[in-house]
Amino acid sequence: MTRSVTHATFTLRRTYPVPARRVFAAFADPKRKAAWFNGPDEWGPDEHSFDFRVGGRETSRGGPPGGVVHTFNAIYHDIVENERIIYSYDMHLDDTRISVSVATLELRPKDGGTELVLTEQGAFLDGFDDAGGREQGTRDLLDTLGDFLAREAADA
Amino acid sequence: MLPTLPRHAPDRPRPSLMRSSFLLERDFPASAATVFAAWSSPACKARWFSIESQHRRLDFRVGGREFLYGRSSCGRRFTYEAVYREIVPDTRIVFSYDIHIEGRHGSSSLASLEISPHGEACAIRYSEQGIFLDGLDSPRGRFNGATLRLARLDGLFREKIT
Repeated sequence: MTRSVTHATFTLRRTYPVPARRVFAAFADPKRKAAWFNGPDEWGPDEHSFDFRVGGRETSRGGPPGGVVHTFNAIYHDIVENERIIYSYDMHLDDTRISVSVATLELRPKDGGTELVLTEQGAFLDGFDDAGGREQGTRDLLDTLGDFLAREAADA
Repeated sequence: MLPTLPRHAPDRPRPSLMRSSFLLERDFPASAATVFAAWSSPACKARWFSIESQHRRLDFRVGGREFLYGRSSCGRRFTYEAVYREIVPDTRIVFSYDIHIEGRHGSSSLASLEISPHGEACAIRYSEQGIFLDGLDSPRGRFNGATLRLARLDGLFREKIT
């Protein structure tokens, strides 16, 4: 195998029409996080462990039935309630580690709602994934989060 | 230690963050195995990495931690806490780490070392992607520190061959 490390950074912005504490809770509360932080529906439920505090870890494991197992292992580095979260994570396809990243999530009031700014600085290993693929995956995840926040606001 | 201020005390700056990344490339007059050992063996690493530290612990395996404690050249207490995320012997190391200064979180970084042998020597690429918090720690200081550490390491390799 040719070994390589490719470094890349991307930033995504979203404005959600809910207060910052709602957005923060979607990342901090285990039940809320499990409601949107998932693979595609056809993967079925994933295995999820979650310890949201500085130094705490999160793991999520899932994939298509009988297919490649996707594993996410995160460590929380910094938490400022309703304002920012810093975490690092590595991603695996089966037993192959494909990336290690550090990400920051910043929340700011905007237009009566909350702007989320997510920046990921990543090291992509051996060409299995790249910043473009990760950015698209993260974009989809933030859309799923938006749907979740809208449902939660409608139920309130 | 500085007294801990409430996060929104009037005289405390708002939370802020800055990102920075750099890549350092060096040729070392040493084999890939020797360069790898300089990062992975506690005794070798203590000779060049944060030599001012008063206490150090290194558990070099994926998921293992490294901890250093000391005072910086300007007298501030610091801790360095790393977690190893990826290890390919003699080839690659990826780790994340946090710096605390006087008990406050100064930065979180992701670092990678790539080692490519060529003949009796090897080329390395050392990269960091960092997040610097609340003005406690600086990207410039980090870059300068990494540059100095690699120079010290290079010096050790040269001592051995002369």
